[in-house]
Amino acid sequence: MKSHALALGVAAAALLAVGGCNKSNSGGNAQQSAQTPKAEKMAGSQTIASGLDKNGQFMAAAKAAGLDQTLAGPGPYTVFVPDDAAFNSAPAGTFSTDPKNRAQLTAVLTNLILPGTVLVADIDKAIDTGKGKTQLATMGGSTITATKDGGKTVLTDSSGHKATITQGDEKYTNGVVHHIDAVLMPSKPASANAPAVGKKAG
Amino acid sequence: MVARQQAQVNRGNRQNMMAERQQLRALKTAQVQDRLVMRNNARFDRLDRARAFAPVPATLSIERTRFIPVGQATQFIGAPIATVNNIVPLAAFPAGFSYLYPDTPNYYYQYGGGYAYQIDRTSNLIAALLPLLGGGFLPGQYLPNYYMSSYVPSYYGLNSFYPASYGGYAPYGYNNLCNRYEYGVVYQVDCYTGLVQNVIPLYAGGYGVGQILPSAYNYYNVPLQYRSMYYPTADYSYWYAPGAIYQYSPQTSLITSVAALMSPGFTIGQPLPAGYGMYNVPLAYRSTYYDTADAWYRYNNGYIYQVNPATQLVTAVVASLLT
Repeated sequence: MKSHALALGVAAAALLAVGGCNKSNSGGNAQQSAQTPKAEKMAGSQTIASGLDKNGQFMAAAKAAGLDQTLAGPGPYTVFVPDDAAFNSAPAGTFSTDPKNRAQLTAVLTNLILPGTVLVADIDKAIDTGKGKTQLATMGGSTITATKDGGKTVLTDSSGHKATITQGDEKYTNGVVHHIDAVLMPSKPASANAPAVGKKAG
Repeated sequence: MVARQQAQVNRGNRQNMMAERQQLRALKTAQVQDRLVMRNNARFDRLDRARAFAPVPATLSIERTRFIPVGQATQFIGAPIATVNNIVPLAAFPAGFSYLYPDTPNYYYQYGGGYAYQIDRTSNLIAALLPLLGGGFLPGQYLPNYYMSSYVPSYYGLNSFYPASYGGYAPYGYNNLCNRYEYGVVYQVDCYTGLVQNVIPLYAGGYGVGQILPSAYNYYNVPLQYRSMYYPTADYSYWYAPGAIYQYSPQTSLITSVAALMSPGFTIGQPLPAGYGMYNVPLAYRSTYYDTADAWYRYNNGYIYQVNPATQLVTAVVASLLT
């Protein structure tokens, strides 16, 4: 069984997802909306999904993780959107839309989303109350630490990566977007020695 | 003389009592040993039944999410698609999923039996396969012993959604089913043997669009406050698991989208969780619910809660945004 599991892991690792022709598959790219009419009404007309650049790297990654539909829902969410330059400087493969990278992609993106509407002023006030720093709970289950540096709000992930809010409080009917200049990563899984998909357990 | 006789009788009585006591003790020991033997026999029976399992537990063999055992599936690699089609009918991904498994000039994808298959265009041989249910182990495999003491983090529902075991029946509760956790994935296993019955990857662990809904997920469980928005129809239904409300196709059991992200809910009386020090009430409600010296307000999963700033305890639900 172990060898089979190992073979499966090798097989999974061998998968390549490269964009190309659509010769045999009957499907197009038509996606059904996840939101019902009532949910769409609650989300409003100017949602985060509709407001962010469709061709930007964040929305491409969100689509690959199935979050594009989520950001069109009622929410509300607070989203930290790294700019495209930050995407390019992230570790190679972080935002790959390859099917086998979907787990990491989802973890990275959910670590950039907070529940509710949190304006920059709200973060700053919490930093003041917290004597210089505050924790922000993310939808991925991690926390981000917020501090002030030279009048700017700085976010730090559990690994020490820092990102500065460059443009905040972009308001939408289902939440708010803050643009940041670097990518924040989620905390490492509880069991770093656990097997990845299809790998031998030991 | 009489006194001596009486003393002898008493001594005899004491000896009889001791003998009876020893007999009782021996009986008890025998009973305990019998119970142990019976318990072991039952355990070995269960182990034997589990080991003799083939190919997949009946509970998993329902049509909508039939899994091919991993060992069998890996043998498909390198096999012609026509051969595999005789064993498990393969089909092109539904339109909503094709962008997740994009065709290339060299390969295209089909799915069936719980896996996505990458097929070489020129040879029509299966080049690789990818499980549609995440996790390092699949139903029918055994979870190693060292994972059997790894429980679901409380953030993902150890005390609610995925308890260590179910119910109060000794020793492991209902149906001998236990939840264990590794690397973003919940494994529902046989408590004794570790035989994986179900694999439940969590959203932040990578469970999402293009993956298959586990067979146990065949009922509607969306939280009450979201039910008026996310209700089942003929074309799609919704499933809640810690982290998200998923939209899925009832026909294919494939997850089509994530309708809403969910955070762990608050309960009245609990301490405000870490990370909620900041005010996060939606804009439309801020004129009514704003922080004061006596009361804070925090948003969570469709509700606005009141928090006591002094004790940091959640004291009340003050508004529902969804109803």
